Amino acid sequence: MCCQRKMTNLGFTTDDVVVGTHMCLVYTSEDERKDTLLKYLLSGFSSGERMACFSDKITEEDVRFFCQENNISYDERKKEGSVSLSGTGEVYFEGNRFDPDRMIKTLTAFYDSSINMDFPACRVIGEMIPEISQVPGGDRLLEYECRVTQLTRTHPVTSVCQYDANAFDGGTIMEVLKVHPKMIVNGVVVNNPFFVEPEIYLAQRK
Amino acid sequence: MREASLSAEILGRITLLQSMAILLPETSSMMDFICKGLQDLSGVSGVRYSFERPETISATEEYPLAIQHQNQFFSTIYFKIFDNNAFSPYIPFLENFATMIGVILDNRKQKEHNQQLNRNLEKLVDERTRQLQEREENWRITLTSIGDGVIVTDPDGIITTINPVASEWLGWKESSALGKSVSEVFRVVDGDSEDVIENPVDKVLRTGKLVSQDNHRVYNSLNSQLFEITDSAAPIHTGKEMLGVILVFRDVSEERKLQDQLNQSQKMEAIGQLAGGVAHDFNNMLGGIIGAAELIEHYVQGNAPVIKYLEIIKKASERAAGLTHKLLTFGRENSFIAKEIDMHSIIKDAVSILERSIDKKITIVLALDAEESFIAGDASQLQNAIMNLGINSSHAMPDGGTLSIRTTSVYLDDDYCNASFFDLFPGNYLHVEIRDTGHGIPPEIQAKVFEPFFTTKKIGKGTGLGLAIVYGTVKSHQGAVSLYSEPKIGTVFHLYFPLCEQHGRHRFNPEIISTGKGTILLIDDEEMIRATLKGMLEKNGYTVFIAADGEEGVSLFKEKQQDIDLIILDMIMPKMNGRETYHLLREIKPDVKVIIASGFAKDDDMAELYNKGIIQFLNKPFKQQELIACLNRELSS
Repeated sequence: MCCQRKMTNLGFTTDDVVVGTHMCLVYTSEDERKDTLLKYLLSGFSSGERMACFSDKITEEDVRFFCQENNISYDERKKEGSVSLSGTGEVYFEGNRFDPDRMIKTLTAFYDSSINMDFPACRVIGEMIPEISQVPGGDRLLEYECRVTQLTRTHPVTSVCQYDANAFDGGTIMEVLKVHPKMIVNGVVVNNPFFVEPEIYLAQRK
Repeated sequence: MREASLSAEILGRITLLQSMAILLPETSSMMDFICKGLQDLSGVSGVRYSFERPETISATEEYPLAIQHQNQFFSTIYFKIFDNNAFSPYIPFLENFATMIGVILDNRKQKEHNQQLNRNLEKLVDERTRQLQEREENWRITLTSIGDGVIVTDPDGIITTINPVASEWLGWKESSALGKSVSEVFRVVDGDSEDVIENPVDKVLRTGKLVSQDNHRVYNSLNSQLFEITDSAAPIHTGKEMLGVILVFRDVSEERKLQDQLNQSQKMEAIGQLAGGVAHDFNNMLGGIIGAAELIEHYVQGNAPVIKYLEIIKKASERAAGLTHKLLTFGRENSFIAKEIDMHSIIKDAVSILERSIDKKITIVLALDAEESFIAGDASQLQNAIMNLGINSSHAMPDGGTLSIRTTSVYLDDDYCNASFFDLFPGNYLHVEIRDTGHGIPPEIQAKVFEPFFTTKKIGKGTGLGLAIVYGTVKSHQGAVSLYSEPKIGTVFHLYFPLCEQHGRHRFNPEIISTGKGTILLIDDEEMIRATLKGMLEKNGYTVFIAADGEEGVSLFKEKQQDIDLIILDMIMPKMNGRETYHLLREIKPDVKVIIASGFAKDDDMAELYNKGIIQFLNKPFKQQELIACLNRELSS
């Protein structure tokens, strides 16, 4: 059976994307990163989606102030469970290791609970940090990204992964591109010509 | 040969690589990214890069793609080809791609170069700014350290710089003076006529030439007093343009005073020699006249009319001889045999004569407090001097008053002796103070009162020799005389005679002055007194605040009462006198320590002030040891 997926707006681009799109944003400046994140959250509030944000560089105060400027009560939204903010390390490196299995379970549970809570959709924005290479399990990052793409087929969590071009080397960035079906270039979501289907990519890695 | 074909996906990759490559800041990181992105190009089995120029390798092995722009080479990408037919259709796209990457890298290099230039420029600006600040600081320190007053103006005569010395002397705060016209701040008048004269800065601005002048006076705006200066103003030039004027001036009041003292001393010396010389010859002539008259008297015995005229000649000659005797005393030509005499006896004798001869409305108060009173001298000359001073004082009190004669033993130190224009040597002296409550001597004639024949009395009422004789007597006794007078208050003469060292009695020894510590507020309207006392106090370890009148003193004390340990207060001041000032000081701090320093103070005033807590009274002029001993005593109590 084929079903038509809903579209959603990301906030930082005019074109809508299919709910459950897995994309990456390679950014070069803090302003760009913060701007994308806040607009993404704001559009999520507008569409009534449930949101999770994994970032070490944004504070609740930043989000509260931004929401206030846009006539949205962050505290109310937080209270009703439509938004949660967590640190990158706190979510990705729980137990001081990176475990893709646990992360996939977390995302699955997030999607399931969002549907159970009658949210029309859910979205995640996560910021990856270069320290991952120092953490046990960090070498499974690309495997994790592949599995997110696989997950979104059944659990359409719209996902934006943020990578800092100043912090990751070019080789890693190219590998990251290969595991994201879509990418954001100059504020536009484009099909990623470097994308390799996860099954193929994972098989090549083996 | 297979037909060449292009993959849209690969072309998309090349396009995306171009868009993404620009995001990567490091060139090597960018090249890694590009090589990985081109790995899957058709006909290619491997891609690598090098920062060396393209090698000459067969196209069948590796295809070199140079990344360069406008003669700027950056790197070479090498494609390992296994199927040239599949690869070659992409070559034009790859070359375009290489050009675009070259442009990106060239821009980046240019940007880095510009940033480096900016950093160098900023560094240069910082260095120049620091040097400028250092120069400004050096200039400021120089201006602050210099002992002369310095004012710098712009070409319109507006003050742009004023150093602390100029601020203090002119009574202008730096913040108030800046931006003002120099004529407003530096108000200069002629030294003699006190007529307003052309400001030296204006003169320089008018003539463009250096101006150097003396005999000027300028106003201190705080106390409206004039002080004497020498000044020099010069144009500040840069090439042909005059940027402004620098004015340097020096307070020469003290130098002028010393010069005046020296001139007066030399004048008195010259007058003394002249008077002595004339009197000596005149005495000889009188000797001839009197001798001749006596001889004639011998030859004209019995001739009554001639005898009568001879008597007239003899009496007139004797009176003339008396006058020459006085002149000889002034000129110290009149020799005497120095004997050890008790000045207290001389003074007592003189007082007993004065009591009988001067107006009964005048009360004579005698306080012979000196521990030692024996000096080497001539009793009759000394008695005559005391008598002259007593009579002069009585003339100054036509409506009655008090004539006080007091003696003390003092030690005159090096500083005092060097400052005096009498030939004094440090040692023990008898100080005789003769004080009246008369009409005082106007300041403009104080310097002349010791000159022979100078008198303010009507013709026939005085010879003008009284004080000249006092001067001559004191000088011939290796002593000193000075006066201090306040119009309408009175006059005090201070006579100093060296005490006999060999007398064997207890001699007055100098008090050993130990330097002190504390902060003193000095309130006195006389600038010279302020300057002298300030120097004296600072030399002995005290911190000094000064105020030119009672109002300023009260205001200063209100502000700094926590810091001030003791106040030295003049009694006779314009605007607010010492008594009124003292009452206001006590309102601020009831237990304030105050020493009254004055040449004059009414006894009833003093009694009231003593009752209210005045701790000491210092008689002007006082000596350093007297002042410091008093301060040390009061501040340690």
